[in-house]
Amino acid sequence: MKKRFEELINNAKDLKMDAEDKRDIKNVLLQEMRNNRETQEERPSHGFSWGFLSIYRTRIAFVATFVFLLGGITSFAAENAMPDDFLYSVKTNFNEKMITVFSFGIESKAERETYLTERRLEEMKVLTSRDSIDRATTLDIDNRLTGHIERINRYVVGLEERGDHERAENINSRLDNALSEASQEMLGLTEEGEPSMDEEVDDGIGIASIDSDKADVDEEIEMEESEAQITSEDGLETHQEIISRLPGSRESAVNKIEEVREYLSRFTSRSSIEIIEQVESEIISAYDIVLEGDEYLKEGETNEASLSYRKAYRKAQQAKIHLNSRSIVENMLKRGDKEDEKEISDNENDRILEDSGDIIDLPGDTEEGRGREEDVIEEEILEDNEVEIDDASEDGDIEVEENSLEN
Amino acid sequence: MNKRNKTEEDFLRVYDNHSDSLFRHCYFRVSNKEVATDMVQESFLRLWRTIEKGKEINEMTPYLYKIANNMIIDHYRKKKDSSLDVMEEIRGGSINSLEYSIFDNGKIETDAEMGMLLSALQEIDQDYRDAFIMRHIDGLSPKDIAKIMNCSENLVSVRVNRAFKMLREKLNIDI
Repeated sequence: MKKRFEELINNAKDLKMDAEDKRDIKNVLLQEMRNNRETQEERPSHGFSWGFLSIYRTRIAFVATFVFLLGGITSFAAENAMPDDFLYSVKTNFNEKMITVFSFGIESKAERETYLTERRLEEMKVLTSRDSIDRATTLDIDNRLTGHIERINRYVVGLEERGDHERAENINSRLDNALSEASQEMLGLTEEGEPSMDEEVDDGIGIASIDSDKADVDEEIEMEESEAQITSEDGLETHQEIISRLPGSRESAVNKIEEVREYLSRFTSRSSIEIIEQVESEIISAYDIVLEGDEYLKEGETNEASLSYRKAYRKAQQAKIHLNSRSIVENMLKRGDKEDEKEISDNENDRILEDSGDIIDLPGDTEEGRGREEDVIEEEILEDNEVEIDDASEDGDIEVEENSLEN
Repeated sequence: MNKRNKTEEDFLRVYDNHSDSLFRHCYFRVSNKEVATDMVQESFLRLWRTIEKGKEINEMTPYLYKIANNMIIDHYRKKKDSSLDVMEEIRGGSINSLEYSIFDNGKIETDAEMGMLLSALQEIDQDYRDAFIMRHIDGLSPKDIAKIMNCSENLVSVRVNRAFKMLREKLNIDI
């Protein structure tokens, strides 16, 4: 048992930051140090002098300017690079890393990742508009897109944890919009208005499937409100605020779930059954979270209920994000596969025709062929002549022989 | 090597040696990876800015943990809008059971055994819990813990031992 306890503690000790996060933070710290050092170096110094470098000043300045310009031009040129371009690695590994270094705090990191997602989607749009889509490029860009979305989800959870619901909602909505727009463009979906969270609260659209629970929940909320008014004398304003927000939060979550369910129905002919089933299960789990919130509410745990409704809303939103991103990638991969299949089938047809001898290189098709054709004709003429000569000589021989016999 | 370079080097060494343990320190209190990572970054930035202002810091590690502890308290204060329970605890002047509401949200990204340890830790007194986490999970020396907790090294040892016994009872582990 002692060993088990030690193992437990050792497991806890093994918990570490992500290597990438650790490196990012170190970069931020180094940048901070560098900034401070530059500020200090601007002040007059009485110690070390750089005077001895004055003789090389012009050359150093020239080289520094050249390097700076070269780097700047490369970086600028890389900004519009596509995944299959040579400069794409400069764009993602240098330009975008620079954005990372200057992102402080969860919200700016989340915004950075959303911005990078929008960039990836733009690249995907351009790739889709081309005649051919390379499978490896699609997989690479999919990998990056998935990474951005996963990080955004983590940051959004972090913001929710901090109670920063508005920012979390803004970031998720921005991501949702970007992906929906990309879907419309790339999958040919028709555009439909999607109300924001606030609008949904105002329009008060009832949802048939969860409506039966709604009356009970409203009753619970009313009871909680009256209790909150009693306790408000103790100064618990926030409790009242939470309760007053509950009906809206629940309705928003339910509306969002229905909206995503409806949105999913437009994908049945466009996406694979795996994606549809996965998103359906995410919708069901979002609905379960709403019911979980209702249970909390019945037990008088308004705070937990409020958190559950928010979680359900977020879950539904993420299901939609998942649906859009997977469908876009799947569509690109399908197109790439079709092109590959077409190419393979063309090659196969050529091979079959070659094997069956139906395809014959006609000598007259090219210059070289034409030359060869002339040679063949000359050879044939020569052969004919030889036959005539032989025939003639044979005839002659016969005549000679006949003459000699006569003689 | 001038003084500034040495300070920078010392600071980066502290970062390399303590960033993971500080992350665990924050994570076992806020139970969210992103928030804990953010706190690590902010703690080190604040430490560096304090050094930059010219404040003499003899030992960076205890100072760093104090900054992180303040951030953890701020984190719970910010959460008061969304968590009534937490707010009530703050009003009561105790942060002993603040973690309850966080851990109870089911957002712990650890396995079942880790969850068991976390629940057992929540059930013991805050001073004992802090001393135990800093000693056995963060890997700090009793001397550093004493500086962070503003108490003697002996008291730290007593708290760690008591926490150990309490956890043993809570986890029903016979050692």
